Amino acid sequence: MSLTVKIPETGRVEAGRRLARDLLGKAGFQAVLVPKRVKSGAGEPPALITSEKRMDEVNPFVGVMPVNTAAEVARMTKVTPFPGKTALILRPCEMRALVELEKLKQAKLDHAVRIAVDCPGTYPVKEFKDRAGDDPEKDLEKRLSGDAEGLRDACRACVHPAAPWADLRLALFGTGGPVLVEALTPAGEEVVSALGYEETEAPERDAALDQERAKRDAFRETFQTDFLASVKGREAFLDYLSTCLRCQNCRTVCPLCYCKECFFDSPTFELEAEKYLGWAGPRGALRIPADTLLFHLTRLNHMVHSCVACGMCTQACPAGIDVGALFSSVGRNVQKVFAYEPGKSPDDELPLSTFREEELEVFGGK
Amino acid sequence: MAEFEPKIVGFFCNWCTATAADLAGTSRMKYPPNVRPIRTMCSGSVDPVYILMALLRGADMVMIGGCHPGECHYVSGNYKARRRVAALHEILKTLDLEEDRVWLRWISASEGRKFAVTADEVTERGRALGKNPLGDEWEL
Repeated sequence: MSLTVKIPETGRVEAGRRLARDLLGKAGFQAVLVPKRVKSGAGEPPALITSEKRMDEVNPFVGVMPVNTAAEVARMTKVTPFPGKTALILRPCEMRALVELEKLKQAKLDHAVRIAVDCPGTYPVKEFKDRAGDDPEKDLEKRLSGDAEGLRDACRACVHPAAPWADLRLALFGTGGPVLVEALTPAGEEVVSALGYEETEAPERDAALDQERAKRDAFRETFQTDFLASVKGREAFLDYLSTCLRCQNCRTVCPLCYCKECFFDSPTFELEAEKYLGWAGPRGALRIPADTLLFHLTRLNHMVHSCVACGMCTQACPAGIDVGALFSSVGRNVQKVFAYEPGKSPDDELPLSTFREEELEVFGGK
Repeated sequence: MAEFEPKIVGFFCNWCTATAADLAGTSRMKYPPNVRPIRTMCSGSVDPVYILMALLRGADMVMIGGCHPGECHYVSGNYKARRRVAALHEILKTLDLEEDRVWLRWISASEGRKFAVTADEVTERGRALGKNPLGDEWEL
């Protein structure tokens, strides 16, 4: 059983703010990483907040996701961990990516407490300001009730309204109204006791989460089936990638593409001009920029087993290619081969770093 | 018209399949000349990018030769190769991109005969599949 407490505020967004403040105050955190509105209102990027004075206009449940924050946490903690207690408030897809990055030894989280919010989905960055309006509480209500138009497809197809693993979860689904804090680990329980909120129970939570998952799973099924049908086969797949500029934005924003030096930036691809002529030769022509197919297929091979389907790649594609649909659909199949669910638990071994002696025996011949 | 002859790129582990290929040759066994061998230190060192690169640059088949399970010179490279090839197969299968053009086979250093037979089989499969259409595509 997990320890569950209730945040004593009426509005959900106010409750989120109250928690963020209390983490700095009562719970003695040195910093809280949480989305905060920028002056123009056009976006709400994560902010590393160390002073309660800066806590106005934070919103852990905001309906926009400019970056996968896990990638930013990895960037900040690559060399050394945060020296003092730091609370990281993340969405489920960000939490799942962070679990993967920690396994990949790309983030040092010694003094960090990982807090995952329940997520009713986010809008594309470019549409956020128009879609969400001025009242964050009203917008959250709309997204929770399932009436929000224009949520990202990645969110509508996401079967993780709540993160499968975290120290703490901020519960929105099945709470009967208030925002609850659920401690799932000893580190989480310690924080909950420091907060001093009233203990409570949420008997309807599991059923509400199951219902939300079922709804999204149904969407995912149709979405991925249709998508795969549209790209299957060499010609259809090349059509799908035909507008790719090879800007590699998808790689840059991907939380799981963590390599310091990507193979595609290596000297392997610094070639003499005659090589290109050589490839063009037998074909009669060669599309430039070359190797877009190789790039996407390789990226699939290198990280799709850990793909958390956050859809940042789709959001970042200037050519409008739904890269995330490819990675989430293919990823689901590859993850099934290894019975692996990225982000489910820090204890599950990465599929390509481990093996079983007795498995996959169709490969290797007799 | 002459039968289509597939171009086959072989990535062969130094400790087993590459030696088996040598053995087949020095034992004067006949096998088709379609396989272009590349010696690697371990089947586990063959990143899928090289398999894909071969296929996209005009190879019709790719064969990876490694040590039998339990016999890897580096303890577990072949098991990891098997996982990588399984993932690659699943990706190609999901996208209908002819995953059977990629073969993984276990052939130990003493199995010259098995190497010759496998070279036959992979060449036959390549003939049956025909020219890799990606080798003709310009929009890659």
